[in-house]
Amino acid sequence: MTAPALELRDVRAAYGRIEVVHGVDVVVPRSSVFALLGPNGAGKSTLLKVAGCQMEPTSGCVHIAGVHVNGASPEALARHGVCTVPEGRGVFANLTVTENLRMMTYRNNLRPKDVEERAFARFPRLGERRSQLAGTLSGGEQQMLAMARAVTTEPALLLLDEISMGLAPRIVAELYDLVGQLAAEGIAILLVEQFARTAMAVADFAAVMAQGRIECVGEPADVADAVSGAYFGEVA
Amino acid sequence: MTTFLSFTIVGIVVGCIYALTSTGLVVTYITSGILNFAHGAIGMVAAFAFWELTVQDHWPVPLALLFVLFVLAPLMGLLIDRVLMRNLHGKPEVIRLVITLGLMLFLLGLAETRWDPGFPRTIPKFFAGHEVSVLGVVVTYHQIIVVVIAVVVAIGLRLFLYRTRSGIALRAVVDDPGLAALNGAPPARVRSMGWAIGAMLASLAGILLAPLVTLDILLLTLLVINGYAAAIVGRLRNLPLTFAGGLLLGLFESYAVGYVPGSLLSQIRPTLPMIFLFVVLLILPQDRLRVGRAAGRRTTRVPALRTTLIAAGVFVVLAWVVSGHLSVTNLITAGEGLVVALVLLSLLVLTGYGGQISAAQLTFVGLGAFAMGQLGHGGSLLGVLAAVGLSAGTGALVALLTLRVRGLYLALTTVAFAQAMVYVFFDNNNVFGQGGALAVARFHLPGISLESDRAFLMACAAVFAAAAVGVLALRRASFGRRLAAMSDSAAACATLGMNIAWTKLAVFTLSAGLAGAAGVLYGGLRGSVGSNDFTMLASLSLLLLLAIWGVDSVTGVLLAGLTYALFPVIQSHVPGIPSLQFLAIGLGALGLARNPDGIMSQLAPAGDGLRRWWAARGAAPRPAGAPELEPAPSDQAREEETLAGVAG
Amino acid sequence: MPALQAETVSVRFGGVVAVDRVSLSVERGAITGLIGPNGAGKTTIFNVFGGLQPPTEGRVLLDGKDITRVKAHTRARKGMARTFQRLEVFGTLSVRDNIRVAAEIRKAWARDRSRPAAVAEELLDRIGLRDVAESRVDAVPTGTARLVELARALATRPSLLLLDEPGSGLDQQETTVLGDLLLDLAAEGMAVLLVEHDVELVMRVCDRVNVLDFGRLIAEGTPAEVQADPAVQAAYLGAEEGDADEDLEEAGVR
Repeated sequence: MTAPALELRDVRAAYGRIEVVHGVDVVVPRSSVFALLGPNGAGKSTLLKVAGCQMEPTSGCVHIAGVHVNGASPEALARHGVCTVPEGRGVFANLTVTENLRMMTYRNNLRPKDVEERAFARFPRLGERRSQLAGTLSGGEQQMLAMARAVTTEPALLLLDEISMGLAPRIVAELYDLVGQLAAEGIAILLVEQFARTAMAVADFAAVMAQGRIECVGEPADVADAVSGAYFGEVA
Repeated sequence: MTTFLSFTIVGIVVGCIYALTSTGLVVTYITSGILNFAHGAIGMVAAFAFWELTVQDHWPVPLALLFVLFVLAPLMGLLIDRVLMRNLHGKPEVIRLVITLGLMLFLLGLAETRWDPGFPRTIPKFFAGHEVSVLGVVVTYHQIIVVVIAVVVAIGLRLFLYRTRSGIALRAVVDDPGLAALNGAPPARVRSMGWAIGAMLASLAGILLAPLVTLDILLLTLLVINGYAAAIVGRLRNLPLTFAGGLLLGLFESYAVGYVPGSLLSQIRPTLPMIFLFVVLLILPQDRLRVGRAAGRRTTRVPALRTTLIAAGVFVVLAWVVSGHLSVTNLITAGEGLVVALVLLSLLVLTGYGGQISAAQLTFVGLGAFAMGQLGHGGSLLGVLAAVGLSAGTGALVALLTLRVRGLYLALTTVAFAQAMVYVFFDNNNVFGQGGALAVARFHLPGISLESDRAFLMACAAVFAAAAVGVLALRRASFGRRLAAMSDSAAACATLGMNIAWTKLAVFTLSAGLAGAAGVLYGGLRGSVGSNDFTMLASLSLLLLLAIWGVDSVTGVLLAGLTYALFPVIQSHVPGIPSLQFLAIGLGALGLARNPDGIMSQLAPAGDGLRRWWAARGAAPRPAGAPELEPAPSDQAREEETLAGVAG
Repeated sequence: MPALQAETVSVRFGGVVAVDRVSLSVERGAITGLIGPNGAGKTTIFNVFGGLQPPTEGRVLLDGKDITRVKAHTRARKGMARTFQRLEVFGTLSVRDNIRVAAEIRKAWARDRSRPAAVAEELLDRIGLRDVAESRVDAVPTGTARLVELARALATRPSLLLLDEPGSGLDQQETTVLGDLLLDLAAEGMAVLLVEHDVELVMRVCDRVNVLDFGRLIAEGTPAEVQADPAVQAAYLGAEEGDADEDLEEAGVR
């Protein structure tokens, strides 16, 4: 049996003295999509940061493809095929589209031309705006540019943090179509999302997180009730 | 027309050198977030190394040039980054600032030790003697080379930053270091690159400038001010504007030399970069109040009034006892220590409590001494009032002019102010008289003569003790809390209705007034003051000294003052190291990279232990309801502030 | 006349519209909620109200008077107080001194006979911070620090209170206490604007709720009305197949 793409074992994480993740286990099998749902402040993004080695857990283990990676640098992880698209806009606002794409060549020392070709094939709109500063793109275009890294660098594991934030439903739908395609290509994906319905449509597994703990985990249909409870309270 | 043209050419050439150095400054600043006050000093070391290799060791010029620019300079940059700067992320701005200031002093001291300043040196111009004539104006090859190099560097840097992956990564790290890491670009390596490039450009500027002026340690080190003045035009961000700023400054200086009447010029000429910096800072749009806190800093515990009064009393008595056994020389040394402690106390109010950075504190001391010297004939108290008034008034004026700037920009402005005051005021023969020494009488109280050295020392001790009690009382009072609140979060203070501008003005005025009082004591102690007593570098040394001991510890201030006064004494025992003071203070400030809270915070655990022991001794009869010892978290060790701690 | 009004306020950062022509009002003696998913522009509009972020267009009225260009500290003197989502406490001061210094700052501009020390003691009890009064604020948990900010805001005796996510970092019980306190303040006549992601708290205490989504106001009404609104459901949970609002489609794309 091969090791799962990502395994978090009894992870705790804290900002200073304040613990925000209290012992969480997550297993993302290879070629599957795992959605982490729940209200703001539940600790989802923190957990994703721990998975991407952007943040050191206070205890617990992070295994990627069976390798213990606690303490690795995020840049080393990125070069080895872990692609994190962070919350907010994962683009360099003061760099042009082309220059943003050039930054994606660190993984496997890709050729700039190849990266551009792949990105523009997937997102023709970016091709039209190639010499524009990323900060002047619309929200949807910026998120496409951020997602271009997932498309061009052939990651083994993709970590997505609230890619829908502040975007119109149609754009969100487009982005999730893409997530579905990437999953179909065999990339393992851990995604944090507030739009529960949207995320559950593409997920193989889902977990609901609240107050730094996982309340409920299973196939999307199994956790649907727990989701609505976590967002609107039991009476909603 | 020819005159105009020749001044234009000189302006462009010097402007190109300013542009090179300021570009380096900006590259380092944007990649690391650290404004490197030692930038000029790095260029100075490079120029001296170049002199040593070519003139003294007879290396061929191209080889020496390659070695200095491509081996020594990047090595300096990398070393500085690895050893000092890497730990500074998220540290308070004042600490980041102080460390580069410390580096500057350290390099100064190092250079003075290796290259005796008394020995004149020159670097020959490149292709000396070769020149061409352009429209009737003689242009040397060196001048042409400077311009060509500047243009090549500007174009090269532009290509590097926009065409190569490393250059794009550098800009990406400026934008968002976390995201750069997620892309696989290591931010730490990119920052090192920023330091290396900065050091190379500083060195290039130093080597090109030295043949045009003299190979002088201080002069080249202060090139950093010109660099800032130019960089401020680009708001420390924009490289093309920075380059333009350099050219503008060069032309401004050159035209001033050409067209300002000679008598006026001789006074203002050295201050031209400062005037330029002032003007640019003042016309730049103001930053908005920024939300976001600096990393938690330690604070020194403030003792109760009773404790400070007892401690102050013990201190004065102890001073009386000790002073009975001191020789005249030692009395003066001890008095100087107390005066320095008083100056540091005034700086503590401003920096430690108010969170404002000033590198001009000795300027206010000098103004106080000046007023006392002019108006305090026979030691009248009128002179004392005038001294405090003049200093406080000037402090208020400086605060008014700098209300719009804060943090880094404020520090820069005060550096420029201090240096400008040296040039136009303290070095002015009309101020301190011919020979630069102004007699200052010792003030006297009705019925009490302070003419004897011991009596005057006691006056110093009493003034310090009273000021210390007053400052600590201030810290406990409403104003002190408001200052602490302002330095913790100015944004929150504004939303509570505080007028930040007035509060800043008040603390500046208070601090400058106290420094003016120190000037009265200093003048009285020495009998006369001279223009060399109030230099910008000495002001900087004091700022560093305060940081080294801990910005808000009154005990630390006293210890710092007394040890500072001992430097000349120690110096006389080690003639082999001519700038012991710069080296020691520089090194001490560099130590802040490891322990940003200063020496007194290191001593805090010992103080806590002592207090616990004392409390345990008298534990039995503790009255019901008396507070337990403060259950301070271990990482927030605090310190009891008592002057008795020094006495005992 | 409402205590606070926003009239077609917009804020743009580069190509991104953070707040898009939002109009809303905050009434006296009531709690007005402002909710929306992450990145909806809540904090941005909040900073517009507080005077830390100038709007690209639109006006802000306090008691009917235009304060769009008025500085933050002058707004405070006109009775506006606020808290911060990313805490802006005075970390080196104790909890007691945080509150006391706020009362002292107020006294310095109000020039009245108030006694800041007494105000601090009263608020320590009212907000329930008595037990931590001596602790340095950068050593207390986030939830407690939020309450310190609330107490500090109250120490200026505001007529309008703007709260930016006061509930995050609070546990269940603390949230309940906070809710009761806000209801008390409103009952005393204060106007309260509550930006909050704890929907449960918002639904419990608010009289009116405004919902922001990608910078636009998509719903306004009583908690029950808002909760039943399909557009709000979509904003929080994502669109159900086929019910994507036409109006929303173009938003987010320039």
